[in-house]
Amino acid sequence: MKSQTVRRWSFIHTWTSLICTVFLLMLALTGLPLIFSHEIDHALGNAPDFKEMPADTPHLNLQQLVEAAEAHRPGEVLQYFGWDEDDSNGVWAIMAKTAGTDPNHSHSFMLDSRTGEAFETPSANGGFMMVMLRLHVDMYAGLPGKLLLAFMGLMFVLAIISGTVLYAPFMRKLKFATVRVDKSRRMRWLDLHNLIGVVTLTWALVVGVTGVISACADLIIAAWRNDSLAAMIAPYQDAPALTARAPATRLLEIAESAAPGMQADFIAFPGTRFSSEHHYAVFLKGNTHLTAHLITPVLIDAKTLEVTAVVERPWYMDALGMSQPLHFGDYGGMPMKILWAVLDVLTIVVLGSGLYLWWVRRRAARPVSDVQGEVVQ
Amino acid sequence: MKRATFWKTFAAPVVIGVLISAGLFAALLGDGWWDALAWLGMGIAAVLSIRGLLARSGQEQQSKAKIADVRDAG
Repeated sequence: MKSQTVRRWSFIHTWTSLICTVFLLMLALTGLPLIFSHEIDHALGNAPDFKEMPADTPHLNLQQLVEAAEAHRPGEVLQYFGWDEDDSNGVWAIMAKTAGTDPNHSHSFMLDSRTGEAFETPSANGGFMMVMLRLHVDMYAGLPGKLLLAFMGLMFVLAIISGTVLYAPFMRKLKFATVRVDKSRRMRWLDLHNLIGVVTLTWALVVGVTGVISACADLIIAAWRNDSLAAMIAPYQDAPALTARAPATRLLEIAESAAPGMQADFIAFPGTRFSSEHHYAVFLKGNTHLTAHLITPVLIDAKTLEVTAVVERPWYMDALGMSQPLHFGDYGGMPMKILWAVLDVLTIVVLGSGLYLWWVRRRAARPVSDVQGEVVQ
Repeated sequence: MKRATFWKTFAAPVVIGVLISAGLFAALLGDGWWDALAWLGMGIAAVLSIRGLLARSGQEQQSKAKIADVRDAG
């Protein structure tokens, strides 16, 4: 590699890294507890303690659950019902003043689907883990915050790519995984930066790219609403506002018969971001490991309970769906979570050592430029 | 960069990268054994990194490296 080329890549690596380092450090630190949010919730007693009941205890129907939720939070309306992945008896309920309320101002709790008993889940509405989540997702700045983090993610990806290119000239004369501990502190950290950077490369790229995709979720969902949803709800444009909606009792049967072989993931009630003013939207997921991350919405007329459409899923919604497990690291058991955390900490080491190396080199370079300055004079 | 030099530098990183990416994908397809490849790939990355971090200025390491150098030269 020509020294000019090295200098160019080095410039790209230095600046893309410097721009994103502070944000990436924040993301890596807040992401660390989020990897274990499920375990932390259980440990802190935030997971509801459902009553022991015989395994074949029948579940309430959906309308009865709607009424149980409304009785628990009078004066509010339901936005979403979601099925819990761990406990088949648990249903998440999300309610707010109006159906269109921003999800950050909604209230989440759980219902026992056999008794309709409501359980508060404090960590879903505030507290330490919620602070971590908000910092990680949008830094409390809404869409601009998400887009800023998406940009930082892109810088991170560029830094990884340029770092890989630079790995070659630095490592040409060294054996893989060599750490020169006896030369100088700078040398040791340079070798560690190269070693840890290159072995965590693939993982960091996967987490970085899927993070960028997730950060653009709002835009992706908006595009989906414009592309697929808008056409299907166009006939309802001039329909009078929905005053009374038909009971939710049979929504699941209706949806599942419209899209056989899938199972319920969540329901969006009329008026939310995921439905329309005139529709229930039942989101079904596939029943294999892979397709469980891909969801298909079934739009059901909220007055007549007729299926308006099984909404097609554009490729970018699939990309969004697949990004989530690959970003969270929650799909390969506890060993994967632990390794996710270890690699997260190692990424912090790479970021920190990169900052250190830049600082040392900058200080070392200063006298030279002073000399140059003198020469010019 | 010459092909031989490229592979000398990148053989190990490429193997680890392929293990991790194949593992992260395989783990999407199932649980249990499907996850094992991801554990292996990420585990190797973690072990190599931690071994590097723990390497101290012991003469032991130094002499090992020298022996390796001599062998390479020979």
